Amino acid sequence: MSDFPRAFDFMANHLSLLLDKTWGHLVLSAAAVAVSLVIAIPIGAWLGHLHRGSFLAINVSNVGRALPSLAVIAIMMGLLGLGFANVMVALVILAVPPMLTNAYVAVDGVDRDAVEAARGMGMRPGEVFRRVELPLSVPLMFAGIRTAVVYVIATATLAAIAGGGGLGDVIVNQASYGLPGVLAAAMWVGALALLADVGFGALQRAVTPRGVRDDFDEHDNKPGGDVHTRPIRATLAVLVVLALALGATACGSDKKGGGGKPGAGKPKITIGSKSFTEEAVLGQLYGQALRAKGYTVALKPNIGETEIADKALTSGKIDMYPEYTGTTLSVVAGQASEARSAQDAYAKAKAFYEKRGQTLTAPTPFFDSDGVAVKKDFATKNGLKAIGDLDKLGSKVSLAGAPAFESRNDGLVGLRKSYGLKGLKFVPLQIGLQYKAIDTGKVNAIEVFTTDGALASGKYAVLDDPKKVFGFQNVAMVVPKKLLTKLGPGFEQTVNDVSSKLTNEAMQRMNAAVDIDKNSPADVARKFLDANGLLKG
Amino acid sequence: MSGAVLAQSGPVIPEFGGGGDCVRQNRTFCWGWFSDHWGDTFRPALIQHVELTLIAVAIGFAIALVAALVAHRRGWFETPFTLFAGVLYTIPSLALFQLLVPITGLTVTTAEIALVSYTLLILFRNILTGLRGVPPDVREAARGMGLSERQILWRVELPLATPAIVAGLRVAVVTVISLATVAAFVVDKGLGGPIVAAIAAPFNTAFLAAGGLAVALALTCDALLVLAQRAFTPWARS
Repeated sequence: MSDFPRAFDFMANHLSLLLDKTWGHLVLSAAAVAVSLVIAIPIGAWLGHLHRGSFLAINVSNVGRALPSLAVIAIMMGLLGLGFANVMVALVILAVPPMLTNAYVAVDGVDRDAVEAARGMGMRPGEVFRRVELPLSVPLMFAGIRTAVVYVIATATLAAIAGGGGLGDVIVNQASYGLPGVLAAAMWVGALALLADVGFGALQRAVTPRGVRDDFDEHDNKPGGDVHTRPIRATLAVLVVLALALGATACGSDKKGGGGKPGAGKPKITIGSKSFTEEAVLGQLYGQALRAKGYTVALKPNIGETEIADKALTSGKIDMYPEYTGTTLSVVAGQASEARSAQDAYAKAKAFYEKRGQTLTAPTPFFDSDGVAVKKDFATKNGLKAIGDLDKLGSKVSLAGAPAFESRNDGLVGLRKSYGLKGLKFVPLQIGLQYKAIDTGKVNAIEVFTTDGALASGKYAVLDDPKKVFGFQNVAMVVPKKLLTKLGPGFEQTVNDVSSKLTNEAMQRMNAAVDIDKNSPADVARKFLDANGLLKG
Repeated sequence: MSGAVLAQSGPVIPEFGGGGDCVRQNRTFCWGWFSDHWGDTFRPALIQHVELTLIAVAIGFAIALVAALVAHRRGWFETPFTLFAGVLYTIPSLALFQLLVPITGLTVTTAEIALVSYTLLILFRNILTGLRGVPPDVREAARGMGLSERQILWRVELPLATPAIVAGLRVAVVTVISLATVAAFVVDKGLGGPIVAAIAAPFNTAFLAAGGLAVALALTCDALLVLAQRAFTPWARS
């Protein structure tokens, strides 16, 4: 398996990208930690000083631990929208509980005798708090801060789903950076978290007054307490061992083949689909139609982006998946050559697969290409009809699209070549989030797929692409030739019968039924197949 | 088979239903949608989540128990295992899941390996602390009564360590329930599924329902463990 070595190549070749994302990651984490400190420490310390509210202070951390970070970020994205500040709110919600609880426990647990002695010396309550309780509680308080910092750095990885930036951007965008990029960023962020943990561990020792160090170690060993302070060298040694072990396993598992498929009768097949709505619907459409014909079909949705889907196919983890002809040419085959027509793209894609012992079923009539859309009123106000018209708005145009869009020939590179657009500012976003971005006025133009359900709302205008920068994107099922023969003509007939019904309008309405009306892809596919007589045995 | 095929007769596009104002405008929480999809989405996701958690905690507990027993007998073992488990514990979940994908693929195994990794440090430290907290006098008394080392372990040390062990289990279970939502990035299982599915088209009801169920599950399991501990260690009640 060459993915791990390639991940290191990626690090070497994309160092500036990783450093840039690391900087974003750190800024986000630091901001969240700073806000959390300001909220949590005074409340926790003051409650501890008063020895009040223990129920609240203790339980806030229990509930806090139970809050799934993914859900908190998703909910904040839903309620507050995308971007740095909103992600920060989510991180603060997650970082406050451990800080607050530790601050409370630290101050509450300061030796009563010491407090009594201070009072006896004539200190007022405020002085006791500042000069005795606070200094004595620093170590334990700091342990909570350290837990929170490591937690925030780890969770900031998830921030990418809500446009928060940081290293998660690379991890969740396999489409743009490939598996080696994802692995590189994953290792990088793991190392970052470890470094932060070790660094803050050292800092924790440093801020602990010598007199209370033993006492502090005792606290640290309590069940459920914080992670031990570790010498850096030992940590690195463990990392090296881990890396070697990973490498060894990786090499070992490389030799496994695709696995045998059940031959006789109606063989069992696994249909994969990539991680976006249209693919999920397509997977269900083909799967359910084939099941109706007596095939045994397992569906594997959400397998990730093109690269991983192709890998899953060639390694035999899935038997087939629906792919876009233009994507085959640009991503899988890596061909720069522009197809002249839909037929041409299909023929070229098919020829590519045939060389690998795979083939394509017949293409769908629907044609899901990329496009650039703006809001309808924005188009009317500025007289926008075609993409080239954006040029006259100069630097007032900001376009949101998937990160890969920026470097693709059938993306921004091609647009600039054909239409100018020198002043245009590009904002990289996860696929699907761009509608939210344009609705909230974060950008005024977005990359879309022409069958996006959101376009059915009529709020947006897709700009013309007279120079055909965007490729041709009809869908067909990629199947190994041998398997196709084994499955017999009935199989291909069924797949083609489904494909033939998939017009642009049908696809757009089905995507809208999932994306906007929140029906499940399975329900939508079943209703469509039923209405078109494709569920009869 | 050629490229020029198909679309002789246009498709029939049925009414797909669903929607409604609440859903279309993505209001905070749409009860109607939630109850419509309880059976086909949330109940199965909840059950899968419980399965993911139980398997991870069971395997993690077995490994941590063996490691803690070894460390209890041979003190030098504590440091390397704590380091090993500490490193795993610190790696962000999304990164760990992705790092395992090239090795174990997009499978439940990948999810479980990562989840088990997160239980080790917590369980190991608590079990060991519990075992070491048994007063030497008690151990001596047991030996004096003629109990073998094995009998001392099972009849004296482990029962007395139960409160600390359960405290560790509580933290481990709650942590795994929370992190298991992230597993949905590699395998379409558990309560993270509806969240990940709704990310592309943000949908508050799905986020809140799945997130809320995960929190409720965590708090319920926590409460159950407290009750179980009270039932099994009547002597520990104060």
